[in-house]
Amino acid sequence: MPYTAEISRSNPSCFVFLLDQSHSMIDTIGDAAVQQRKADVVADALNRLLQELVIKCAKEGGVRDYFQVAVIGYGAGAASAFGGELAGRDLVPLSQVAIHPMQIETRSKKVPDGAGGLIEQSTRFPVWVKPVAANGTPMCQALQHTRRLVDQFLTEHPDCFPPVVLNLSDGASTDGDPGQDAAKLRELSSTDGNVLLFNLHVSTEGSQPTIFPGQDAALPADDYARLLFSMSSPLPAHMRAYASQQGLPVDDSSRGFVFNADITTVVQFLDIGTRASDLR
Amino acid sequence: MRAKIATFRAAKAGSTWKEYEDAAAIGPRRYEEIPGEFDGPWLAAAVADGASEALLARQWADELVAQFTEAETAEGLAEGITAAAGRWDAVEANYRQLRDEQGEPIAWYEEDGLERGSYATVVGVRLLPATTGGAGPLRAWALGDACLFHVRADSLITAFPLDDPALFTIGPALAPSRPKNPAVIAKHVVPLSTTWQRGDALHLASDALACWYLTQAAEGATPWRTVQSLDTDNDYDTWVQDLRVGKLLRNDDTTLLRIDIQ
Repeated sequence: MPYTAEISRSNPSCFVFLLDQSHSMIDTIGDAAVQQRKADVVADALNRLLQELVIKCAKEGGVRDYFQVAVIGYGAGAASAFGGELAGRDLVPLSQVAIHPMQIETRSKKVPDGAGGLIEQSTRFPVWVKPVAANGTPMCQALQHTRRLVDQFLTEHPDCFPPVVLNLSDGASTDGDPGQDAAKLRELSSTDGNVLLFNLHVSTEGSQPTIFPGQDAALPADDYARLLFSMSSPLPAHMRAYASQQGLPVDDSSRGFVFNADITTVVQFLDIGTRASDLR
Repeated sequence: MRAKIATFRAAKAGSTWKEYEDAAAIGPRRYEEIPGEFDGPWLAAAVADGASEALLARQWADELVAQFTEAETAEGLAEGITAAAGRWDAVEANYRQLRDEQGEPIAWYEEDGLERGSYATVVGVRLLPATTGGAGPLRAWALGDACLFHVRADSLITAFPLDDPALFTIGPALAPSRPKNPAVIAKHVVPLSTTWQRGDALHLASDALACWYLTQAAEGATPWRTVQSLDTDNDYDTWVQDLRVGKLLRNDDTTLLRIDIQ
């Protein structure tokens, strides 16, 4: 059965994040009260994803290398977007990602106060990539670069849980139709299944946020949304089951596509053992 | 009440013993003067399985089984979890102090897990004093998918709390060391009330072994005989490795606590 391989230190999987750093990411999204540049939205989303992945694999005294991680930025070409100590590196063991954020910011978040209200609380926010908005959108080049990285990883780990590639973009490719390169990437496989390509679409189009839509779902009225949806892999059964447990309305045709919404659920899709969760 | 006790442990393949996160205990310990030979008015036993994604999972599993097996007979599992959780701040403080002493300060990625607390599944059983010759009340509780199997006259008479291998998931109910709402714990703890008899065997198992056990039973096999036949740690280790190689047993910490009531 596909997508059941154990993820372990002796049989790690990999995560490749593609980060759109093109000029169009300077546009802002959000409502009148909170406006954010798309570049800030995807950089925050990526840093949060890396934080979640590190915490998921953290044990006393260290982070277990269940994954290798690459962050490929595309704008002026397609290359590693890691900053600081990791600058220029492609696939990096997760333990190295954990100990080398560029900085750890303090941010505030609203949490329940236990009496039906919300209070502000400061929280650690490690940063590995900074927002960038310049140049074109060479998404095809980024997908080709990713294919080479993933192909090499699969040669070294032929029985791994299939690599997950997550593209964070507004979808406006400037070097051609990325559909074919996406299909070639999805064709790569381990003995446990094909590479999974997911997309987070950030858009100024004011449609409702959408998470893991199926073929019958109303997609945003945006050509780029349709393109990125069509490039996205169907969610494997265990991921649909987890999403369903979390109250997300998924069906057999749901794809790994998220529109203007939180995508950190993707990290929880990966099974490294019993999840830590509170009783409800 | 006299019983022979045997505890077997196998760490997840690819992990070290230091990373083993199950725990098993019997009590009260004062009635086990000779290891493996229990002789006392009542007996408590528990197995706990620390969650992979939690920090200090082994310590929490240890706390849970120690609390359950050393508590008074009237204490149920939910009260035991709450009592153990009440000591968790001290456990965490000790760990932080140890790290300081070792010159290894807590890293940012550990803080989140430490603040959240730890998690484990747990199953506990109490054999209360005999009410008639060679028989008495048996009370058990479980939270999550660590299981108790009750064998009598070469038959599996109770599988608790799960009785179907399809019910094992990677998201079982878990005992929290920092409960957000302690009142919820009792709602999730599953109780069992039955009787023990002289000659019965009880097998407490963490989830990987419990799943194998139920799979075998569902296929008409007799896993309790296999479990009863294990003698040495080496037997157990070899047997577990063989099952893993044959993909009959999930690669996980694998714990068996066997009680033969005499």
